[in-house]
Amino acid sequence: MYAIEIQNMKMAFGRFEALKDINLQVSKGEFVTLLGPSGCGKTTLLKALSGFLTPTAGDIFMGGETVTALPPESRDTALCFQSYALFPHLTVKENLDFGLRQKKVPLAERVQRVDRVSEQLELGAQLDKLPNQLSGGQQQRVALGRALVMQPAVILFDEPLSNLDAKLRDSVRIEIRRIQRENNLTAIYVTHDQAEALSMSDRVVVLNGGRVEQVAAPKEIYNNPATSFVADFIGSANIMDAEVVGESSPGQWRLNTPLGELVSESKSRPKGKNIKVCWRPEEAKIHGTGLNTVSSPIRDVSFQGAYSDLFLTTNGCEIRLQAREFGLKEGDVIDYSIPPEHLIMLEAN
Amino acid sequence: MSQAKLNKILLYSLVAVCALWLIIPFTMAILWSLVDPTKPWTADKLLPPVMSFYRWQYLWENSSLQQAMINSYTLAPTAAVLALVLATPTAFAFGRLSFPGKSVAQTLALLPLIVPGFVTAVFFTAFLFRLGFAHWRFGGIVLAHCVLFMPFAVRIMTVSFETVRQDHIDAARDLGASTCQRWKVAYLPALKPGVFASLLIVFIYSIEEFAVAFILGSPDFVTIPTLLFSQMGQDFVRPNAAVLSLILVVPNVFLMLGLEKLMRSANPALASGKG
Ligand SMILES: Nc1ncnc2c1ncn2[C@@H]1O[C@H](COP(=O)(O)OP(=O)(O)O)[C@@H](O)[C@H]1O
Ligand SMILES: [Mg+2]
Repeated sequence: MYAIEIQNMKMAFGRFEALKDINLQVSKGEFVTLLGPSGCGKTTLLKALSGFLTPTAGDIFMGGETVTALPPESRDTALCFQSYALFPHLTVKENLDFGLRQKKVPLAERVQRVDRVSEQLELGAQLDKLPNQLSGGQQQRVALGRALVMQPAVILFDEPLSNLDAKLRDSVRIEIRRIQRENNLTAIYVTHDQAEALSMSDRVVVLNGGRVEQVAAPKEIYNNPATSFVADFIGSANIMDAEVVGESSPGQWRLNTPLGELVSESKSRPKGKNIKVCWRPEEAKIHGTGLNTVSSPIRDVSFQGAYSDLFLTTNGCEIRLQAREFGLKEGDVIDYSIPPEHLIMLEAN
Repeated sequence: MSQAKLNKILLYSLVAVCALWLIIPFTMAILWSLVDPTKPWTADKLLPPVMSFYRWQYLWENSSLQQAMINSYTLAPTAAVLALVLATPTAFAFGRLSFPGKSVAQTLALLPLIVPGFVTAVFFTAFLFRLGFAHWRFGGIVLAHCVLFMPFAVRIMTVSFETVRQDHIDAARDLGASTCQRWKVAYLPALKPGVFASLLIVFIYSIEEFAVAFILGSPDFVTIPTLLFSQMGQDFVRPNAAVLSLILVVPNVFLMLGLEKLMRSANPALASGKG
């Protein structure tokens, strides 16, 4: 039994379809991120899960029971708002206690749960303050605590770190993950930040234009993107058009590309004759030889600290490479090779 | 001259002008109300030659002032509360919902404010008389004040409803709050200042309103303004008028100061803009 199961869900606003045929299963205790560019429907999906929007079609199950028609106040979910949405006239303690009071939890248990959460989040010293007397990070922790204290079956986050500065973001991110693990919470986490998604999640759902592009573990998403959108959105891979020429030996596919004839190693067959292929800038071997070797002048070098970004134009194709060697400069002609197992065949063109 | 210095001078002159604007009329009213009938205050004297509370005592004992005060101070709060109650649903619709023709409706709701008071009074009272309010003058005036001044309440409450944050409502709901609890935690704190402001505005306008109160109320139902104007009408006695105008205006000043305090404490979110 899944903690959450979404079946053929659609969500339309008038004629506009914000979500098109979503299917997703989430197990108990899993941390799943919804990743995608702004406007791809992440918040809409989260609102459907929390009950603020009723799907136009399809069903949502939680713990095996349908919740599609349940309003938010009757669902066993807790939402962490991007804006925190703390009640400004209530103290931190009253904010934490609010949901428990609504659910008519006995006083002794309320006190105990609020104590536990405020200890977990180090809010003990802030309990009698008003939200506007707290820093951004503290407010964010109160928002988190207010959801945690409910001990919900599913906890939902809508870009919870977007209002924090970079340093704080890292520590809160680790903290959210720690608390999620400690309490074995099922979590759905919305973000448009790929680094956040890759570092936190058990699985990542990549959304684009209201459609699911890929659902997989972070490593799989990164190393084996299913579509050119995923390849481009996560870690900006080099993406090229390719024509499949044939299978030279089992699992070795010959491709015609703007860089010349290349070989891709793959167990699965290509999805058509004209397809897209991608490869990561850091997978190419600078000064490589043998199979898949390309020679090209360097157009631009950009020093990044641990490595340099090299920009090349080969046969009208914009290519990015990563080099750990820092002697290269504009105008140098270099050879690089793309290992066949890292040349990934994507969808048909 | 430096910018800062100029600003300072402008600020001080503004404060001075405001102070004079308040202080001179008040001082004059107070002085005139204290003129003793035995010796008139002539133009060649800076202060009244003899000062006493004769006028205050005289009016208190020998005019319908007591009845007028009772009438005015029951009328105004009733009109204020009624206007607020009637304005709230409209303001909710204007502030929280979207519907076709909303901006037209909002303009229409403000229309009563631009029609001159006396014009409205003359025709509205005719309408009220037809409805039978000639026999219940208090009710007639309350209703008229309510209708006349409700646009203020609608406007203020609309703005208040607009400041209620949707994410607060959603958060309350998400945490399991009933409709009633949602109102308490998300709406009321944001509405409080608007509630006080509407009550006060309608109260003050109602206390000071003359035309409707005069036409509907005369001859036997007096309010402070109708008493004041009648004192002016027959044989104008300036000291008496001074007493009445002070009685009319002093409570308003205190109400205004009280409101300022209440508004400040009402909503910590508005005080800091965060939260
Ligand atoms: N209530 C609504 N009415 C009409 N369109 C909406 C509504 N809510 C969201 N949308 C549209 O649906 C799309 C997805 O929105 P959203 O889920 O908020 O995206 P995001 O991935 O940035 O969170 C956007 O194009 C947005 O304009
Ligand atoms: Mg969003």
